[in-house]
Amino acid sequence: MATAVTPVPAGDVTQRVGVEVIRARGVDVDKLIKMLIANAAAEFASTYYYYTILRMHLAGYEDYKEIAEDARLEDRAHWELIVPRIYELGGELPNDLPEFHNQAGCVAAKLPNPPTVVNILTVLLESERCAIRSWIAICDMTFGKDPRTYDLASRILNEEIEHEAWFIELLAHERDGKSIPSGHFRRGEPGEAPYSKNNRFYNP
Amino acid sequence: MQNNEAHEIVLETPEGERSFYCDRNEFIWNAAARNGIALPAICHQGRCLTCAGRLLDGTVDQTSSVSYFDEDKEAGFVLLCTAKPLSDLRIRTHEQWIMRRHRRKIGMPAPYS
Repeated sequence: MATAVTPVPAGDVTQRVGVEVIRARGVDVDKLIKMLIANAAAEFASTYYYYTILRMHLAGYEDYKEIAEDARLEDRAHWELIVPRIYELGGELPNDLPEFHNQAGCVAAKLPNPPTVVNILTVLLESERCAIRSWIAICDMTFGKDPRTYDLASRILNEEIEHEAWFIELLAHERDGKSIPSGHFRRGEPGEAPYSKNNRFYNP
Repeated sequence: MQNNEAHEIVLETPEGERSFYCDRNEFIWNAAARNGIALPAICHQGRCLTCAGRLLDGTVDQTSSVSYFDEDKEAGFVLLCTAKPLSDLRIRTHEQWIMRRHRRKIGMPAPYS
């Protein structure tokens, strides 16, 4: 069945067919832009920035440092992946960093006190869980209506789910003495981001 | 799960009134889910405001929320994902956009707005 789309006059640069077609399929584009900005803020300001600090405090746990570094760089890749889509949809980032930070839908992953390995792993785990919830909300909103945003969100979600599994494994080992395998091995290179780096979608 | 430590929660939702019991140490959102009531939420940290409700009667413990301010309490808002009951409660759900407008009006963080 055809979906009615508001016609965009030839040569009109004030409207985007790429936006009107998803609006016609039921996407609340203004709400989607707000959700993408909130998620971009969480990736950049709540995790990428603070993970930079967290990994510094994993002294004596060099393997954990590398895993935290993978998560940190992949969260930066998520930020890079999603920002162009915000502008494509007609949105823009706040031209003020504190305002941007305040839009984040997830709490800042600040260094815990005391900064023990268990406390740091707990912060990392709960940050990844919030990211999963945030990206699946975008997937739910766009599934079957906005394939481009859905594709980006689902690729990011893939990596967030892997990050959660990593930190469950490490926290269970450190805190509880239990083995709960993530099922994964190290990335090929730091922050490889097999799903979310544009030029690495195919990653044999 | 009704016992001496539990309180009766009445929710005024867009679909009508729903009630259940919630333990003193349980988050109201979780107890609602356990009773088959699907409420909105994303972060489950008390940050994003998606689960916001308006407290019509009773008192809650909101100390598990990472981002809940005196101004929110004064305006009667609660964040159900991280709120525990301190008494029997009556709450109007689905207040996220009203709470975000409130936050913006007073210049405080309003994620997703």
